[in-house]
Amino acid sequence: MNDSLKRVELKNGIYFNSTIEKKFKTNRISFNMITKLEEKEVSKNAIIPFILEKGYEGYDSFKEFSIMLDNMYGTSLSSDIRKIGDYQILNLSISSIDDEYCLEKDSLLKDITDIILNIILRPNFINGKFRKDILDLEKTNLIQLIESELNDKRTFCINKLEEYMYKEKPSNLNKYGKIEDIKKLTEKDITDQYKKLLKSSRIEIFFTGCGESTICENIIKERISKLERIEKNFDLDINLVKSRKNIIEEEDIFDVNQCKMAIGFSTDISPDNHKIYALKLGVTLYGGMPFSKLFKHVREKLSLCYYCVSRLDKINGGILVDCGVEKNNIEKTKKEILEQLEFMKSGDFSEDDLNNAKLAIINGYKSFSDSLSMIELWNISQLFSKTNNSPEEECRYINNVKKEDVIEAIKTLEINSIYTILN
Amino acid sequence: MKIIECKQINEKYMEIDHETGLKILLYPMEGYKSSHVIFGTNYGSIDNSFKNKDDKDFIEVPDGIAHFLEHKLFENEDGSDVFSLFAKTGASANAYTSFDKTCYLFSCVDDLEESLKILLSFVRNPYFSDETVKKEQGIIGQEIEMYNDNGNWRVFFNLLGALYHKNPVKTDIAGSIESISQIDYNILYTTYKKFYNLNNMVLVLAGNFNRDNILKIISDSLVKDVEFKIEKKIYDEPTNVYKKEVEQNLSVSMPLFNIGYKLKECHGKDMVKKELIASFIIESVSSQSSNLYDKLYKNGLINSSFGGETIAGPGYFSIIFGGESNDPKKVYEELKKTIEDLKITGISKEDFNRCKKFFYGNMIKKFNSVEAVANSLVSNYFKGATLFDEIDIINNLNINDINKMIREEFLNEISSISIINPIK
Repeated sequence: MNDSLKRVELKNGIYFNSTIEKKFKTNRISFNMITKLEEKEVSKNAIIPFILEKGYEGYDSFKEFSIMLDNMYGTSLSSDIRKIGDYQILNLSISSIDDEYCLEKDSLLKDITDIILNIILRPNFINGKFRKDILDLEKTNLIQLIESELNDKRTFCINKLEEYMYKEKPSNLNKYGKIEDIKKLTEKDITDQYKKLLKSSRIEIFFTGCGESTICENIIKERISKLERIEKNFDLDINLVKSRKNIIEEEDIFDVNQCKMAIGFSTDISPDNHKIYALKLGVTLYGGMPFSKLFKHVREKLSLCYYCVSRLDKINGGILVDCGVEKNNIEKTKKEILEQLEFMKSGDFSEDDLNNAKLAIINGYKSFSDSLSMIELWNISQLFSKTNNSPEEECRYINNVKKEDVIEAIKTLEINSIYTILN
Repeated sequence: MKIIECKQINEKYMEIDHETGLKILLYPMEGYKSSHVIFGTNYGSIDNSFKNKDDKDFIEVPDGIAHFLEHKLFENEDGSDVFSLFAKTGASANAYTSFDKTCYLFSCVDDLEESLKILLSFVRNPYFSDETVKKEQGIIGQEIEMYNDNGNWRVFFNLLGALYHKNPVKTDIAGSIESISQIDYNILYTTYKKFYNLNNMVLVLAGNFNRDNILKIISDSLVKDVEFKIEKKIYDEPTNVYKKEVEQNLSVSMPLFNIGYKLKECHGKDMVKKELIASFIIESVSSQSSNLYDKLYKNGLINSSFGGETIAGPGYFSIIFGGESNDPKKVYEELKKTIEDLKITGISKEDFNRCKKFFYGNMIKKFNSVEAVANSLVSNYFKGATLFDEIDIINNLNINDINKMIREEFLNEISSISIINPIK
């Protein structure tokens, strides 16, 4: 039970989550519309936050809106799309310094609550629809954003691996949608879609900061009271990637100096299963830290890579390893990565190694309460894992894991897909 | 011990001149569980030519040596690496090399004191051998290749190469595969001994710690260092730019650009003030609240990646605008026009007041994070300023300060553009 989090359902499927930490000097409100990833809707959804953030009713230009935010002590407004498991999250967040630090007597917390609500509830419509000029610009920008994924080959390589590995699951979709579909979007499409989301998406609002969250909660509660919501089950499902008989192996050639390789494994351990803590430890021991097997052997001993790391995507049941490597060392690196996993499965790690991994994870978890964004990410991750643990609770679970639990968890890993960028 | 205080925001920290020669900055942050610790030396990638004050000639070392040293200090004489020591405390350790400093750091919640002992010990006890140097050449070689593929990295260094004739800021921090192949353990020891002198270093702690215990560990771990007598080579950098344009083709989706304005260098608090003035100009010229952004965005010439920054240090000071555009030269043209107009009109009072509030708010936000506080303490200290000087400067900044820089130093004729084009 996470005691520092206060959570209330304001309306069916709309939740207000607040964490007050007096040590901070700012307040942050984050608005998240959560909807299942679907090919026919993903592109429509993806463009919505980027249009919404340009202002609301009464603001003809984004510039005027931006000036207003700057004058509120650099209040920052940001929008993005997140993807967790098989869900797409439309995110808008606003943050500002607390009233206590304003140079004049201001009520910024009330003001930023009003602004984010105006953005959500009073969008800048013309004739009942989103503006065409803004839509056209944001279509171009969203397409450029998708195309620019190519610029960072490391992220591109991981994204491509996920696309292949999760190909039977909605999570294989790009969170920003498909270029061909974005090109065809009309004002009516996205206006209808937005209205649908307001009625039927699960909405999670997070307040994190030093201010009075009740100011924010009361304003939101009052202003959404008239919002029309459908009656339905808003639960989030867990859908793990299935193991496959025939490994997918794909590659592309680019004009680059360094090749990249990503290897994906599947596990059947669900994030709400207690064995997840042993798996988390196993993945950390394997390649999550600078003392892990992959760092020690692939980088330090064999000098094959500058980076070679593993991470757990617990909501999808995926374990991803990625590295940058010279072309003639690809096979050698792949062999070493797989061999180190076999060593893990056979229990070739010491109690000391295990304790070190526990310390590293626990240290990270304990420091989450020192960061506004980490507090929010922790709480979102708990929602999708169908758990309600505080970082301290999970520290205890991690601490109780035994070596044989880690071996058992790591043994569930099955190689699923390999994607390589060649030159 | 000196207390540095800012009454306006009710914040303070301690500055200690330790008997060993080390400067210590302690910033306790109430309510925080974690701490961020940085042990830094005033030595970075640009310091590639230096001598003792009584030496006749400057010693020239290969490019990338500061970064190479940073990697190698993580290795102990018995072949073990420092990460395995931090693994026992749970601290998350790392290091970075910039143009003008090298910093070793860790963050932790528990066992801070043990981690501090490890940090002080490994940075003070170098061990280099032929074999370990060779191994590192392979790893850093891969790091260099990784950055050579990175469009945003290349567009930035290509710009610096165009702006500067001589200043080593134009050279990649990690050097090149060729330059690091010239590094051997003797050069590493020579360089280490010159710059890793406690009189040239700072130790910063921000967050949750016990001051007395920390000071005891420092006194027990370190011994008084010899006088620091290094003279760094000062490059006679011409005022004008080396090249007006530079282009490269890489595997990117659309052209990336950096446009740089070369300004006069300065030192100490003047540098902090000048950086803030430059930030005011960047904000009023290129932020989402500016006329230029509005026009370029509406015409599809830029996307939300457009923005600006300053880089400043010994011998260099530049204002850099960057982003993605299908027509970077048109963006450059529009930027030049905006600057010419600004020279006539100056920035408006509204813009000035808006920027003042914007930067004040951003400064307050920094005090939310132990990491941000520790990083700012280090960079301000090496510039010769305190953490709170920026707030004082903002309070006292005058619109004429901004307009003076626009008219006298922000010159289109001393600017360059760097473009990365997609490979067709």
